[in-house]
Amino acid sequence: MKKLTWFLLCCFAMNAYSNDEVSLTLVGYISPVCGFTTQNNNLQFSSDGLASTKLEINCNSPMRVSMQSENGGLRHQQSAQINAYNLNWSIDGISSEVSATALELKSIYNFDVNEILFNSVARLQLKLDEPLIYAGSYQDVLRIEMTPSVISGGVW
Amino acid sequence: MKKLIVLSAIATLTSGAAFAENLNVGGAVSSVCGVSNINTTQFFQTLSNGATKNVGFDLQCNDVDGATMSLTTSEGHLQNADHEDRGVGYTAKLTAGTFDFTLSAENGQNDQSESQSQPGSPTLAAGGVAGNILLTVTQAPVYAGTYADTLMLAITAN
Repeated sequence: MKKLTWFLLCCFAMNAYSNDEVSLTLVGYISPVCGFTTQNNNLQFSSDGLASTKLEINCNSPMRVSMQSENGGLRHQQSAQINAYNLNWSIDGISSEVSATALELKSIYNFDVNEILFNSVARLQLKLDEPLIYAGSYQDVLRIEMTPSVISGGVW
Repeated sequence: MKKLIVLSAIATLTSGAAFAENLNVGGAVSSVCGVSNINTTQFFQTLSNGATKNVGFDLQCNDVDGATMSLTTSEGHLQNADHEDRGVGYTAKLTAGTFDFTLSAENGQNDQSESQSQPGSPTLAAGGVAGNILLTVTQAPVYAGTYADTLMLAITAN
């Protein structure tokens, strides 16, 4: 009985002086979110063949911008005439610019923006190659899509 | 664990969703169809068979379907002021770009007309077409006096 008591005391004593380490892994995740608002959704070419608007972008990740022109140019509503125009994209504070013809935009046109654009302004300028000469109305629909890039887990 | 991996993959796909918007791009052009820079009074100093006059004008019509031009004689000839049945015949040949037709005003019948239609073209739409009407007297005048007619040139969008 005396031996058993000593044995138990020794066990408790050893336990009281032993060390242990616990590692905590801290993980955070922010979903990539890209959004933009347009200053004007209905762009009208002026008599000098120019139209422009601003896009206010808020995106917490690098992104891919996709554009597509429905008609590949301004389509004359009273005939099948297509009038070519050029698109120029620039972002305030970033030197790189992107230019494309409306014909190129008929197929989906992609480009990457490697910067993270919090509350940034992109300028979109359209310029007709030739003046509109035939009477009537002209129309195109330009679809713009912004997707967080695959690096931060987005879809392309 | 397997379930956890599958769930996290779905979460990533959902959170990276694209944002898209459509911009409507448009323009409009007003209709213009007419002639300009034309001298509306023509006077034959000597009215004789074979005498000619050229009347120049500028033409513009921006209808994509083109235009129809017409020449109409009011009196059907150059009418004598003292006697309307005593006149002098003439022809008016209009040329302007692809337009080319001739009105014959030689029988005194009122309101005779000739017209021609042509499809639209960038040149016609932009207003760079120079036109001409060649007036040619085709009969010799017999009676003294003044002779006159009103020739109407019209252009209509198709």
